[in-house]
Amino acid sequence: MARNAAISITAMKLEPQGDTLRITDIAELGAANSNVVRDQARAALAPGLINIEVDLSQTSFLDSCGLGALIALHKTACDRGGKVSLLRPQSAVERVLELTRLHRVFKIVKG
Amino acid sequence: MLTEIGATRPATLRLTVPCDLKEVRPAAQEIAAFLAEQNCNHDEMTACGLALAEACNNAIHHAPSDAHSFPIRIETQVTRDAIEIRVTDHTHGFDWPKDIALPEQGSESGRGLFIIHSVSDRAGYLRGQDENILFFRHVRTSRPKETDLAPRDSVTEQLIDEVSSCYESLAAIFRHSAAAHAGTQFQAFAQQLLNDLQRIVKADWSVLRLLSADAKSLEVFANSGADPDHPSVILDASGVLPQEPEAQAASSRRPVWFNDATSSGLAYPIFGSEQLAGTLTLGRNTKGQGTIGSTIFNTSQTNVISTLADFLMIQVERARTAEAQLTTRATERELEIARNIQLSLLPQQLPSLPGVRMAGHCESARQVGGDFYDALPVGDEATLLVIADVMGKGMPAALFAATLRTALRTAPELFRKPGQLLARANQLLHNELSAVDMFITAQLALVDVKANRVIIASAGHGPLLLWHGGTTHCQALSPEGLPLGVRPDTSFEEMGLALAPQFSLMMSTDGLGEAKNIAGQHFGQPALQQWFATSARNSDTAIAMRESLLTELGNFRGEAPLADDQTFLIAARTPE
Repeated sequence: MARNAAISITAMKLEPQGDTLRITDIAELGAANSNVVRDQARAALAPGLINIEVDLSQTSFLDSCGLGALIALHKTACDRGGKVSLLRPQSAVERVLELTRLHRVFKIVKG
Repeated sequence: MLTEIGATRPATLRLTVPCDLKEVRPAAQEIAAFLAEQNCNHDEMTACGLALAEACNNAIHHAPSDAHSFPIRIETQVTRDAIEIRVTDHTHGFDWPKDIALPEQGSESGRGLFIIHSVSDRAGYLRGQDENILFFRHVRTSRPKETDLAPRDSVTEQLIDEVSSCYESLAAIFRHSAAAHAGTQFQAFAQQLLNDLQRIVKADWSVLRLLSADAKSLEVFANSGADPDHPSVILDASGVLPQEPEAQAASSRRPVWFNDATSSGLAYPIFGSEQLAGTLTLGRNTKGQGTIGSTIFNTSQTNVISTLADFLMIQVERARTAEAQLTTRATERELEIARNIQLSLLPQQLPSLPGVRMAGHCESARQVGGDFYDALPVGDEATLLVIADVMGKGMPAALFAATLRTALRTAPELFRKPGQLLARANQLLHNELSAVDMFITAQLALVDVKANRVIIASAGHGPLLLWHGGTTHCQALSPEGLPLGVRPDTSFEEMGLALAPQFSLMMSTDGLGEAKNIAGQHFGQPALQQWFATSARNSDTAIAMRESLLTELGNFRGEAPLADDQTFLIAARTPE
């Protein structure tokens, strides 16, 4: 359970891989850090990077603010002719995506 | 349905969280741990954690800038059957939408309520004056066995619940005691107390009714969050079981639970000195989405209601006593003013008359009357002595005394004709006096040392005592005349007598002869005359006679209180 999970925004890693920006190690994506995640991702989006992959395998929590950040990044990627992929979401996070019908918007890559 | 739950006491966790987004997840994790302790499963914890985050984010995002100092309160209650979480915010509030739909796919916000709604079995929003409550409820799939609830833990939970409620009611009492002592109007005070009580026990409305003066109905004194047109409750002495819960509570002298079409709650009778003083009713709306509680009020909340009702009763008594004291104070203030008027009527200095010394005394009983005396110079060798007693007490008596004094003083042309002066005063004052069924007795004596004569006139006043040197007895002189204010046209006899080289005369009000001792006996006119004759013979001056009379009256009265004003005026001429 999430009780002892560190709530850290600095643990997040951003690394370019070809034309894709990979974002990993997000413990939670919620109101407390969604804007930071969005802004850091946009800042890291150097020219030539068109796709964004968000690794959600370590993400135990996603709320509507976190969804807002993902949608913002989706728009940015679309503007560049790319897309956002969400990798290996945990079941709770996947459920939020399905609940809000956003699994139709993002490409979800399962384990 | 409410009654399904409550088979066991709910386990409750109350948290206050700063109005800061970063504080939400740690609080959610604390609540998750609490839910785990209650054997909630992972899905339940995840669903509640998500809905809670959305509720808190909502409260923080929409809090006006001046409300950021208010913490958010989160109350989590877990029973065997359900988890219910209430988040109290300080935003301006919003209307819970009838249909909660998702925003368009590209929107970056607007999914919070949808998520809460989707992961809960029931959710809603209660708007209050300064705060609102977002609640959601999740029916448990993981019902623990009875044995899972360790008895020790449940006792601890109950104790925590009790202590927490006690703390809330104590805090409210302290706060309200301070307000009550700050001289707040009782009604405003009662209103504030209702607001607080309502918040503490999570009621939707509350009404305080007080017993009417004729004890036949319960009149609304203050209400909060309720329909403003709450009717009075008529108390029926016929023995028929009354319909209204308040009337039932009043007649049975016990708290009465009620559950009708629109709301359910508790009517609590309030007693002051064993007598019914009123009722306190608290309720929750049960139609629509208004119900937030798992039972109407749990034991702790009921305890809070009874504690605050008792406290309220003390305040009702206090307010009523204070009102009575205020009336007493007003009366005392009036008496003080009347006393000051009476004192102002007395001459500061008695005029000098060749060979004659004068002394006056005016002592008010507690109930100030309208006694006064006056002495007005008439040329160099005569003085008009005046004594009057307005029948009545307090301010009206004092005002009539002042009017009479002025009426007499403003007719110097009649100073040598005391009978005519009284007739004039009667004409001036008759209408006013008779309108209020009051009258005045008065006596005038013109002492003329040049002519060696005294002219006396009386308006129903007691006798003037006159002693002549060389005699052992005094004369009691009562010229004819009705009191002032009895008839519009009254004439007053003028009685003229020669004055001996040595004489004493005394005018007094009947308070002197009617002075009572502790056994209830009157001092009496004969005793007064006897004292006068003796004292006139043995005393050198009017002042000595005054002191002698006061001693005499004091000895007679002993410990008995002064029953009436005592006023007298003595003039005496002693040989050179």
